[in-house]
Amino acid sequence: MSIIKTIDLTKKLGDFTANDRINISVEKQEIKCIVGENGAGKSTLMNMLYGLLRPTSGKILLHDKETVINGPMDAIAHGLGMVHQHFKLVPSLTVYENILLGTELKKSSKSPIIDRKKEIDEVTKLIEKYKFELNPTDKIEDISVGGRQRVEILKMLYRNVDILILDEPTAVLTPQEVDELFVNLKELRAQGKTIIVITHKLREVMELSDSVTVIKQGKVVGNVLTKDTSEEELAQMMVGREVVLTVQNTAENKASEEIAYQVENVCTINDYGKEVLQNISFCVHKGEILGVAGVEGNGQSELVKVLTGLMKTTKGKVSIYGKDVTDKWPDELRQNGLGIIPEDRYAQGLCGTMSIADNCIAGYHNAPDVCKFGLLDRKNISSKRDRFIKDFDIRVGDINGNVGQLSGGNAQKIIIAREFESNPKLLIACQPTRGVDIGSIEFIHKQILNFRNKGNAVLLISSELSEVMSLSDRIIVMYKGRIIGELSPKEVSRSEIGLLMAGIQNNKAKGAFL
Amino acid sequence: MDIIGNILYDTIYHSAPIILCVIGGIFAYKANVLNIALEGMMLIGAFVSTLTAFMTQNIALGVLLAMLAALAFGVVFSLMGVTFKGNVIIIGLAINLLASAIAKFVLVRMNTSNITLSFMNVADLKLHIPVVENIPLVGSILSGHPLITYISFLGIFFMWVLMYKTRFGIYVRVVGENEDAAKSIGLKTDFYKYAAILIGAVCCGLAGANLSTERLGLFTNDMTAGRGFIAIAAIYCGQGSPTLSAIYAIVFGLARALSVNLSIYAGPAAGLFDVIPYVIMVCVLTVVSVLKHKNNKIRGFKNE
Repeated sequence: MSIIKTIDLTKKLGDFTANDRINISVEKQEIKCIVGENGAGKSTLMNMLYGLLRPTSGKILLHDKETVINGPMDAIAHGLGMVHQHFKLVPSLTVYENILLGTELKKSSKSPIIDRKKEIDEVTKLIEKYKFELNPTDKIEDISVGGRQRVEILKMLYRNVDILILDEPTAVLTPQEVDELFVNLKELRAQGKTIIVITHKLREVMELSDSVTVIKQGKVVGNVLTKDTSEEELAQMMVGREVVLTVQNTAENKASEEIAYQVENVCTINDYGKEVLQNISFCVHKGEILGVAGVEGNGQSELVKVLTGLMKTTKGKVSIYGKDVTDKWPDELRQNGLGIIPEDRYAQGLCGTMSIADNCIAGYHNAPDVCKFGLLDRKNISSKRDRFIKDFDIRVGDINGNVGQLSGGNAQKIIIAREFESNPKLLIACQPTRGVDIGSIEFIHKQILNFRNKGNAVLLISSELSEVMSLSDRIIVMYKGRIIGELSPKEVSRSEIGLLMAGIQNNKAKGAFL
Repeated sequence: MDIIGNILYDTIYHSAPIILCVIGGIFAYKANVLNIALEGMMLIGAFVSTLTAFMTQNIALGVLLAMLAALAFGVVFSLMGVTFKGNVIIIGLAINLLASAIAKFVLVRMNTSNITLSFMNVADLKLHIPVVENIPLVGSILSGHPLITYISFLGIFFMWVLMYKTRFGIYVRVVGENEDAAKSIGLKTDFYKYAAILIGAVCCGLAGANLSTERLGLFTNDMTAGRGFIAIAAIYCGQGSPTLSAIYAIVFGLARALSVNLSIYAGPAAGLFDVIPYVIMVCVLTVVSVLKHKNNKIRGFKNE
């Protein structure tokens, strides 16, 4: 008997069919993974199950009974809970307040005043029951991302759901936190819960799930038991062709001794006066990719902002090929041969409401080939755009359309094309493949390696550990605004780096650092 | 000694309407709705209370209708700003202009430049608290204020309880801080925004009644003189905390008390002292914002 089942579930958004006759079924007490590329329709499907979207046609069966779900509260009442990718927590409230949000316990049924003590007791019991690690009185803004996720899960468990849907649960976790999450999820399964996980990380699918459903372009293209399949097979189903899962940095390390990029004792503070970067020092050699690993929120964002001219330092020095560029503005940095792939492509890399052509020259408006006597040369700009589209295989629906209409992968390729075509000597690539489909990831990784092979320097900052490990020649790990270790990716394992990312320094890493 | 006593008495006296606006307005602030219509809501409250009292000679009815009139403005603001998702700045501005225009229109039709309540003596509305009244200095400062002034100070505590100790307060803050979180637990976010705005409206109506009818027995147009905006400044400086924001309101009350009391000594330049509250407001805002951003290392616009 299946606990949840969909029959020909279809969702049309205008002319676009986001979900086309989806048939899935989930058994009681199993962990089901739903995989697919970005935009394949996974989220649409889950939003229909959770009542956030109404199906255009088709049926949802819960416990073999046809059910119409009218919104999240209704879903929860039916025993269906969801943990979203972007947590729905209130940062200034405590753990227990967030868990009990909407079901506050009052001093008595008539009193309007909330009973703090009773609430804390209740949540403590809940935490103990499911063997989670949390302190009920901590504020959300003070706890780790993994902790926040546990709060989200508890929030659902408190409401007695027996089916738990998790949307991309591992995207923001350290490897250790991922392990802990998996232990927690397996414990929940043992206690009788059914779990549906949406993800695109195939390694985790293999580790966690009992069965897998693959979705491509709104259709189910595969339904397999995990033990009967492999990562490669799943990837092939997702993309529809064979893909290289990880582009390996196979070239022999031919970095020269010449230092391309030097960062010395850089410090900076955030709005609250807290030192978010403490004495950051490293160098990147010519022909080398230096990877920066670390859990998000450990200063990488600030480091990138400082290095790309969006934020000022309080101390320290940055130089490109010996030329001091500390606290220079982004345009000056670009003139000094720096190419930038920013962290948030829509906030810092592109202007979504402007045309593709305009975005192809963004930041390089004064280049002589596009700007003559202060006037933009539209013809040249258009031909530049056409060249980018051809050379970088950017798939656009409407060539005169806005960048906002492109998928994440294609939007990212515009940035890649623009930055590489300006012939930088040094590239800072921050989260270059975030939210990008598998096919484009492969392409972007190859581009970065080619760039390095031409004798340029790359600083790669990514929270995807596998990306840092497969591309980098050397890795530094950031923790709480400091660099706590330097490693060679060929000599260490994932879990060793994971420990460093969690702030635990073992001897090996220390040795490399000292 | 006398002048200090006067200044402190006037501080309480002039703080009251601002405090009322502040403790009402913090709910909209916490619900993440920028309500710049506090000024207009206060003005319509002042106008309706005096007009009603003038026509019916019933002050209580005047105060009640003042709150209802402000509430009506609050409903218009919420309807346009929350339900129809209009631009709250434009709506707020329209309401401020509308309040002033209504008052002006009626005054012109009545052929007068202000409404004076000649049937009553404002001194009769002042409450003298037994025992406290007889304490030297303190008595003369704390006693002898009209009822709504006392309500405004007690309101600080009441609003603090409402904001931090009840479901309603938590939900308003949740709606303002993370609307998605509120929706995900099934809260009707628009309801909490409405409620937050309407609490502010009622308080502003009360503030208006205090300002015109209760304190002066008089209405002249535009007599709110920017108090609604001063209240917004106090709310932002105090980041929506009932106590801290009320303290800023008292600072601005003190500024007005200074301007009133010092101008007596200024002779012909007395009018110049009217600028004190506004100068102090600019100074306080500057200092608060400098302190807040002194650590800012981010260039240009901040991506939030």
